[in-house]
Amino acid sequence: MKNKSILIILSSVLLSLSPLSLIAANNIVVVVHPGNSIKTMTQDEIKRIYLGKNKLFKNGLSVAPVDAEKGSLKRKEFYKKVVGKSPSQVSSYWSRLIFTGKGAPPRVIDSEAEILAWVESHTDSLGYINKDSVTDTVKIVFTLP
Amino acid sequence: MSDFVLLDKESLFMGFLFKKYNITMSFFIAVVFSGASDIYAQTPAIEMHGFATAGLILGDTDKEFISGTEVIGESATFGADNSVGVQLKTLINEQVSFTTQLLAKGTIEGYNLEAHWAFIDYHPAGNLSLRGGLLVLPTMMVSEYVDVGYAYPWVRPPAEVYSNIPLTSYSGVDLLYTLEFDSVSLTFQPYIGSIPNEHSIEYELKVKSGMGINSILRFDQGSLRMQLMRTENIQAGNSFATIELDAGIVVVGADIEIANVLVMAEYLKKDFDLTGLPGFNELSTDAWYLTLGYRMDKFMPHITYATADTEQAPLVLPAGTPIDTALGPIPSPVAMMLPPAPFSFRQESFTLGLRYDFLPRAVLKMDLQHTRPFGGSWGLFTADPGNSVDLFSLAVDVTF
Repeated sequence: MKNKSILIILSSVLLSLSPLSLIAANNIVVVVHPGNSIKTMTQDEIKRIYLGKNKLFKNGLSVAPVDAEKGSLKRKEFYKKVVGKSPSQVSSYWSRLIFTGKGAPPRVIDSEAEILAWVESHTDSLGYINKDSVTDTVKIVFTLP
Repeated sequence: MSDFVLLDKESLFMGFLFKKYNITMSFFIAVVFSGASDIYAQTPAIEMHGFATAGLILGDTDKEFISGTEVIGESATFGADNSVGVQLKTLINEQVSFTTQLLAKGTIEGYNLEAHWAFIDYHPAGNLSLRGGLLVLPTMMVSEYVDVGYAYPWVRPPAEVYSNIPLTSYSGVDLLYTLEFDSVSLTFQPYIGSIPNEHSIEYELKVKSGMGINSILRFDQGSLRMQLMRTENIQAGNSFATIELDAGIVVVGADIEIANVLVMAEYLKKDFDLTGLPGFNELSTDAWYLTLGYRMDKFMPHITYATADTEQAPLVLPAGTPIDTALGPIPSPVAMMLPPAPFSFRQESFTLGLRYDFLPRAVLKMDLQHTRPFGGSWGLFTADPGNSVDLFSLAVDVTF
C-alpha cells in the first residue's frame, strides 16, 4: 500500500517533468453530445469536418465543430495529430475560404469548461477536450493517438 | 434593442445594394424576410475578418509595370503592395447572410477604397449556395483572394499569368454546388454578370456580359481546377483609344502539397477578337507558371518560372509616330508597344522566394525576381525596360 502511493507520487512527479506537449497529446479526446447516435469517428472524418469539407456527421446529422483557444497547446496538438497541419497552415487555409465568402472556420471557445458546457447543450456539436475534463454529460468518439 | 439597430443597418445596406447593382435582388430579399427568425440568440449576428499587407519594392528599373490588376513600380518603393481589407458577414438566419468586403489598395496613383465584395448568400443546404451582388471573378486559382497575401507563398502571384485578365469584381450571380465523396469533393461554380465600369491598369473597362464556370476537385493533398470563361463586348478605353473585344479564356491549375513539397502550377489560354486596334484583329496568348516550394516548419523557400507568349508579334512605334485619335491623327508623345500590355505581351521570369510564418497570423515574404521580356515585346512594362529587370519585393501580410 505504501509502495503504491510512493509509486503514484513518483510517477506524477515524472509526468510533471516530462514535456507538456506529451501530456497534452496523450490526453485529448474528441467528444459529441450524449444524444448523438454516433458511437465512434475516424480521424479522417474529424479532419474533414474541422476543415469544413464535410458538414454532416456520418448519421446525417449536421455538425458544428468548436475549436479551442487560439495559440493553445491543445489546439496545436489537435491540428498536428488529427488534421496534419500547423497553426499557420490552418489559418492560411481558412483565409482563402473566409475572404471569398466560401466558408467559416469552427467557432472558437476559450476555456475547457465552456467547451464542455457547449457540447453538453448543443446536439450538433463536436469538440475536443482533455480526457481529465470528460464528464458523463458528453460522449467520447475518438481518442488522439 | 441591439437587434433593432442591427436590422436597421441591414435594411440600409440592402437599399444600397439594390440601388447600385440592379440585378434580380427581389428574390433574395424575399428570402431574407421570409426567413427572419429569432436566430440571434444562437448565432453571432456579425462576423468580422480582415487582412493587411505592407510592402516594399527595390529594383534596377524606374519603369512601371503591370502586376495582376495594378500598375506598380519601384518609384512607389513603399506602398505599391499595401492594402487593407475588412470583411463583415451578417447572418440573417441559418440560410441567408450578407457579406461585404471593403478594400483599400495602394497603387502608383495613390490609394483607392472600394467595395470589393458585397453580396447576399442564400444557402439552403450545406453544399449549395446561391450568391448575388458584387462578386469577384474566379479567373485564376488565387484571383478571388489575390489581395489576401497571407493566403499564398509569393509577394505577388506570377504576373505572366495573373496580369492577363485585368478584371476583378463584377455584378452578377454565382452558384456554388459541391458533391462530397469519401475523401474527394467536386465543386462547380457557374457565374454570370457584367462590369458597369472599372478603372484598371490605366483603362476604363466595361464588360457587357460575361459568364463562366469554375470547377474544383479537392482531395487530401490539394486541388485541381479548371475555369472556362466567355465575355462579350469588353470595352477598354484610355486617353488614346477605345478597344473593344470578345474574349474566351481557359485556365487550368493545380495546388498540391505532398509531405513538405508544395507544387503550384497554372496554364492559361486566352483568345481575343479585337476591334479598334488596326492590324490586330485576333490575339492569342499562352501563359503558365510552375512553383515549387519546400516547407520547413515556419519557413518555405520556393522557386517559380513563369512565361507568357503570343502568336502575334508586337509592334513598337517610336515617339512621334502619328496615331489615330478621336480628334484626328496626332504624333505620339512617347514610344508605344502595340498591342499594349496586358492585351498582349511576351515575358518570362524566374523568382526565388521565401515565406516566413513568424506569427500564427503574420507572415514575412521576400521575392527576388529576374524578369525578361522577349520577342520584341516590352513584356508587362509600360515603357521599354531593356533586356531584363531585377526586382526585390518584401511584404508583411497579416490576417485577423
